[in-house]
Amino acid sequence: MEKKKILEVKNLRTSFFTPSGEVKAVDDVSFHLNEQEIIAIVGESGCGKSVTQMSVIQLIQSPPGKILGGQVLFAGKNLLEYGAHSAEMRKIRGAGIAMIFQEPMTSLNPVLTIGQQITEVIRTHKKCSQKEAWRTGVESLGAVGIPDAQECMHKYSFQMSGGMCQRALAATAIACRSKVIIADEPTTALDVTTQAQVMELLLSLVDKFKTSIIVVTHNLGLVTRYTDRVYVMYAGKIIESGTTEDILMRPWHPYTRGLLESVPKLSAEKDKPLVPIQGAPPRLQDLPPGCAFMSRCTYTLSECQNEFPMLRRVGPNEHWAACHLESGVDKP
Amino acid sequence: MINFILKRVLISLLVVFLVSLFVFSIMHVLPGDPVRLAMGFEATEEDVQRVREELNLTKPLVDQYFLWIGGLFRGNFGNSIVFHRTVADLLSERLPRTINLGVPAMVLAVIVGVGFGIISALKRGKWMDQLITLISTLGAGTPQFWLGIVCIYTFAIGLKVLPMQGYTAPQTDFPLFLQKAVMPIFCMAVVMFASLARQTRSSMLEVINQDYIRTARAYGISEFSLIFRHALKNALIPVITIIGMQARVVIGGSLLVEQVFNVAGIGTMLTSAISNRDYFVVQSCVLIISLFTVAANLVVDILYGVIDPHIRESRN
Amino acid sequence: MSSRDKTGNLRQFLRVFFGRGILVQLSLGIILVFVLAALLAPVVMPYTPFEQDLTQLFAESPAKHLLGTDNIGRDFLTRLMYGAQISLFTSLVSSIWAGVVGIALGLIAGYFEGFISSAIMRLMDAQLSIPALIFSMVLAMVLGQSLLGMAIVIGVGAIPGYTRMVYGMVLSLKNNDYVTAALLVGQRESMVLLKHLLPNCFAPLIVIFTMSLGMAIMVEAGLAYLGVGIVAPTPAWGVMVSEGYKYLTLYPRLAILPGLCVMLVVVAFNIVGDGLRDALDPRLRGKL
Repeated sequence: MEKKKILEVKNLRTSFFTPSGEVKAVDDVSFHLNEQEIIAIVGESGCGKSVTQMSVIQLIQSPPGKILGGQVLFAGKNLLEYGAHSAEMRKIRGAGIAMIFQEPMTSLNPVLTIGQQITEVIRTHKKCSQKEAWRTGVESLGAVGIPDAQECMHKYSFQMSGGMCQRALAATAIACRSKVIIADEPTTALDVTTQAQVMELLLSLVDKFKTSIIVVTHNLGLVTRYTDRVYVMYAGKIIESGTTEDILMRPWHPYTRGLLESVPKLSAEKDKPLVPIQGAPPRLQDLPPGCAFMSRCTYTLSECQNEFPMLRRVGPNEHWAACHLESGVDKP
Repeated sequence: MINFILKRVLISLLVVFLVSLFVFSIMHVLPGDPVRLAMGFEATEEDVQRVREELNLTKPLVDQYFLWIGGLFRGNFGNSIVFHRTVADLLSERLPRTINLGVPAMVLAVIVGVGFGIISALKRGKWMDQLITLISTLGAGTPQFWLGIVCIYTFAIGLKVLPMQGYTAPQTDFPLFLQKAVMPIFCMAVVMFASLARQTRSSMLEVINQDYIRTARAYGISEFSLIFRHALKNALIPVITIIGMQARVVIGGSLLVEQVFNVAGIGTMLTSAISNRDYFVVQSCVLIISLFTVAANLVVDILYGVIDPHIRESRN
Repeated sequence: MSSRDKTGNLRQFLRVFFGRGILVQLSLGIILVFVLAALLAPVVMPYTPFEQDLTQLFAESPAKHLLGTDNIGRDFLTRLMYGAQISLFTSLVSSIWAGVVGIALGLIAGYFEGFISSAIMRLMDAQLSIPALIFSMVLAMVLGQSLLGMAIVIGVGAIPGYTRMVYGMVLSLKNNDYVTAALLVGQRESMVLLKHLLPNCFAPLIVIFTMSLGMAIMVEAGLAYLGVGIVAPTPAWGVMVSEGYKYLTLYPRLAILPGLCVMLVVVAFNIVGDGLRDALDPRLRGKL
């Protein structure tokens, strides 16, 4: 069955102009999100995955950043045609595309109650009375699994745990019936059990409210159980994409394989050491002409130095990789 | 919340007590005999001694202290040795003048200072920010008495649009009051404005970069609401401290301005009382000023409790 | 910290400090000019600030008197330069004295805590509830017979600033993890605090010191204007303003120039203090 695309990003480019040069944080990135799908965008810190999402809703700090080109197609429009501070963009934020950030505790205003913050967002996007907004807020809190939703509305962020705060933020996204939720490292600041809970929550949102979710993370372990498709980013570019199964079972790019190998597994033999990817991510101000991963790669070919590897189809199920290797890396 | 307020009140009372001790002991340590000074060299020793006894100045210091404190509660602030009037009388005549200048100055300073601080923060780095910062820095370093003189020279002597000195009560002749009050109020406001603008600016800058502002933006909240509802409430907390600090300038900070503009307010009274060793005037005046400051700080602390739920709700 | 680290830090500090624009350099220049004026006055000027030439009242001729004379024939420029001496001397002495006492009190309050620290902080509160000028005036009645006495009086007003800062620093250090770690290993608390306290306090103290230099001059000028502790014929700027006020209509420079000097020096110290704070702060944050 042909799934409908709800968000499509084409050739997005965002750079930061710093005293030490232009940092191409997002360099010709394209991806799409289908309806009722959960996709993951994975990569190390600094690879550009967060900046990509911020560019989608145009929250880039400008200066020094600037969205240089590309298209963000949502609900039949190219969002980049709207100004960053325009009323249209503000309407989309929170009610069309909602974003949940990494640190739930600091993402909520410490001097306003949850209720005050949720109702304000609701009333920004829909004309309704304070009472109605309050009711919607309580419903949303309940829908994300917060017990005592009514009481929670009167609480402040510092009175709640990290997991609860994250739920409250998700509730705000639901309250306005956002079609797309972007979760930027939603679990990084939380402990392991809470991480699972938050992921289960996101999964339930797809079922209950028919939302589509983008999870941005550096934790591949999360990806396995909850996502449909995965995009792998490195140095501002997408270097591999495909179904979760393809990425996990048949990784093509050496970087993807490296990421998989560096995830500790309970089932692995006890004496087998963790294999980190050697070296460090490159400075985005001086990227080489060829493949940016080359200096850390153990499978280099002669083309890798000077020829930039374009994304090409390497598998039947929309499995793409930006690598010169003929048959991909061996299964880990 | 009640506990919180009570504790603060007790500490405030302690502070006022310490101030009373300080001002009492200092005045009585000073060399010079005010009674003799006031009565002149022709008065006989017996007369001077009689007056001293009337004013309880011959009793042991401890007794004098308690007599004074006791009197305060009954509204008896003592007598001015120099002016031959009760201190209460002098206060009731002079205090309104100081307040009529100080309060408008503070209101002006708060509105302009906080307003400019917000603008400065929002337009960070642009010419408006730099201009406001420059004005604040200059304002903070301008001596009040000099500013007064420059104003007088420019507006009274040079342009001849305002009267040089003096004070007229607003109820007597409001337009004249305004004319005479404009320069003194401006001079008092400038210094207050400077520190308010700077503190507001740095507070706002810090708050604007917080995560929760980013979240609010990500949910489409309008810039207006972002600034005035989300950011300001957080940013104002340290600003309120400064406003509280400025409150004490209202009564006690007018010395120089009153001197330059020849206003018969608390400031000039205090200045001459100190040089003349007019015990009761100085003691009671300083005590009242400190009481006022302490009360202002108390209000600030309570306001904290109201604005910042951290302080209210946490069990720390 | 290796010596190479230290020079690296120093260079970065200088870069940030001077990189803030022309204002900082200008302010340093102004301070330098006044310091030179203060130091060189007795050497360079042919007049003393007190000698009167009654034939030259209110003179304007730049030939004999660069800035003219005042109402009793004293050379105006000389008086301004000696005024710089008084102001700079007073501010330096008062700030050092305030620093020594204030830091000591802060250390004591922070280390001992309990009743002692409460008592000290309440005293600071009590002092701060009296406006600085009034406080200094009252104290000046007791101590202010000499310039040194006035410096001490003005200094007392600056003590609470130091005390509170050091007290807060000690408290926050006590709660710091690496202090706890050091204690767990068996080191003595006083040694640990001292070792970590000084480097962390250094930067804010420098800033407070610079600001208090400016503040002291403001207070000194105000007191001089009111005729408290510093009186005519001393060539203090505040005194000159008050004397010149009488002649404002005819010879405005007598009142306006000394006040301008006060403003220039105070603003200069404030700007330098701000620059120091900016230059030292990010480094400080990195270290902590």
